Amino acid sequence: MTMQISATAIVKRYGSQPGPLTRLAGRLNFTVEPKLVQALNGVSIDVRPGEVLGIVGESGCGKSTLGRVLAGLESPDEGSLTYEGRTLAELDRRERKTVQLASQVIFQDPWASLNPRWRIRQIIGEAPLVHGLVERRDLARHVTAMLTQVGLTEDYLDRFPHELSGGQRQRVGIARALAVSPRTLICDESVSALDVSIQAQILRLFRRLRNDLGISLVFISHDLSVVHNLSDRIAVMYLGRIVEIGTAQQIYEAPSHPYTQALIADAPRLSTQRRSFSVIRGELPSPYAPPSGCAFHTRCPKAFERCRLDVPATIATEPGRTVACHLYEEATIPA
Amino acid sequence: MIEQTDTAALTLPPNPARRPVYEDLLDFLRDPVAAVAAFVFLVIIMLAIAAPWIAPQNPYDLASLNILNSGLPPGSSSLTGGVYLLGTDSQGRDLLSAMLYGLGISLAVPFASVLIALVVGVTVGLVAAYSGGRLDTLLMRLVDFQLGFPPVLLALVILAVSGPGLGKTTLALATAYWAVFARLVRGAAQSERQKEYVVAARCLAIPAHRIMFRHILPNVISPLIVVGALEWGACVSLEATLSFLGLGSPITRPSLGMLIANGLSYIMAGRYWVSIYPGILLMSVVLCINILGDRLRECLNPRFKA
Ligand SMILES: Nc1ncnc2c1ncn2[C@@H]1O[C@H](COP(=O)(O)OP(=O)(O)OP(=O)(O)O)[C@@H](O)[C@H]1O
Ligand SMILES: [Mg+2]
Repeated sequence: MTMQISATAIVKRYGSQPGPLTRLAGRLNFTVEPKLVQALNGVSIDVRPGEVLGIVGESGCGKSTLGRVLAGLESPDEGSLTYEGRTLAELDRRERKTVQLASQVIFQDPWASLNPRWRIRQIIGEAPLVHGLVERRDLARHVTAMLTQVGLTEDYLDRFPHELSGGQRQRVGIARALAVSPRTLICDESVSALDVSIQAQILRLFRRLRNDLGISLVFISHDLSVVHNLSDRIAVMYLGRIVEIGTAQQIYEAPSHPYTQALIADAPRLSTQRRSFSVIRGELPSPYAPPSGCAFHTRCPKAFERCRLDVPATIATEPGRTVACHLYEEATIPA
Repeated sequence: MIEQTDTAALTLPPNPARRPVYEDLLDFLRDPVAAVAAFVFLVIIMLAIAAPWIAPQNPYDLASLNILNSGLPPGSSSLTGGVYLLGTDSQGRDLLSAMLYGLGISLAVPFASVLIALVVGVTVGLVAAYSGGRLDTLLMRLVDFQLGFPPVLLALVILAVSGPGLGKTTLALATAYWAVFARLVRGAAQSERQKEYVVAARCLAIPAHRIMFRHILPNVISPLIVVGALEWGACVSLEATLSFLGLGSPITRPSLGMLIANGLSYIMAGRYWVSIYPGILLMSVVLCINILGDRLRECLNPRFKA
């Protein structure tokens, strides 16, 4: 099976190496804030055609960064990305544009994600027109079709974003993405800003789009219950790494990684408004100075000597299931 | 789970009536000072435009001047029978006519400069904010360097090298002011660039120039209008200064600044009018522009609204 998107050993850093002045300050025994964040620290993940891949983890663990890298909005510092089996390097400009259009992002904030000065007609119609996907005379029909697909009508064509409700705006954002016929939608907290009842509608819309159009969804959220409900597979992230990947059922019913276990144990108590899984013992370490070895060892109830020293390898424990934890290193099955 | 429709309860909100433009205008004029300034400025603009038709004399037509008419006080009658309402200058020119013609120059030259400065500054600011990195640093160093010079000094140096002339003055003033706009636009565009609608446009592979000029620019335009108006006022003063120093408008087409300068040596001789009347007119122009610019700032910035 060729993967929709395949990411291998992605590293993404933010900030800069300390300059000469900072190093001097460090020498002179001033406490210097480290400035480099390793937002992604060797992340490998596949997005399969037509699947819903959930990504969960505490705030700051790199979920959005992974989303932006998968969407082609940022290029990784290390690692490789392939789209339907091909790397960007082997594509010409036209193909690169096609690949870029194939992954679209649905954002969190329905207020900020639409240009306040533009009408819905322009917002949805711009990209297809600019890229020559539709003729100008067919544009209105195309835009109306997109609106219909997300449950709106042509009455919205000449509205401005401020005339719509949050849920309607989010639908317009989805229609804008659909207008370039994407193969993957990357939904970064796409329902977190909405009322619970509206959330349910938008989630149903996502499910329908996947079923009707065969679009892959990468669904990023704090809310484990939402992710569990929608996803085929779930990836659990902790401080820039993926600690476990499995089917929604596997992750929910038999979590392997101690971190996942803690998340699941908390899950019934998680409300949709909560921003972190604070029930886990201890503080989330600073991403500027992540712990040695397994980054989770400072909070892990099952940690032992080795966890402090070595970074655990990612191993397949069952087909389609991987976990990065020293507890499972003996259980490796041949890939 | 029962598959409910995902389109439940999607009634269209009523279309809120668009606020008519005249309401904004009324709002603008609610401030009495601004209302007076707007009225005076309107009159000034109309006088400047209508100068060729309403001026008693064509001050550029040297043949119509007679040296015997020079230095007449306001209200004197000319050899040909007309009345010099505001008197004449040292060359026998009707001061009122010279002022009406000079007014146009004093308004139009700075206006053109601000337009040029806007186009250049906006482009530089948008490119710097959008591209970031080295180009941003380079352009902003240039802006800092430029802003390090007082505008008067910069314009003086340029005109001292190039010589006076209306076109040259326009360019010199534009050179002195573009950096202000560049910095303003860059700051506003940088925060706009982070917003999700711009990220969405990038994800949709919209070309950079379209993102800069069609997505970002419309969202940073209102502070630009305000600063543009205030810079116009500053530019009118600067043009007057340059002309006063003999570097701006050419002698044959005097602006208000040059008229003031021409009359300066006669003030001690009691011929106050040659300098004072153009001075009062210039002051009114700058004052009106500044008051209107400030009022515009109040109206466009919701934070100032009561
Ligand atoms: N543009 C940036 N510049 C500097 N640091 C960044 C940038 N974007 C992200 N980071 C850092 O990278 C890390 C991961 O950020 P990211 O936004 O991916 O987290 P997240 O999992 O999406 O968090 P949240 O759930 O709060 O949205 C954080 O430590 C963050 O501070
Ligand atoms: Mg995020």
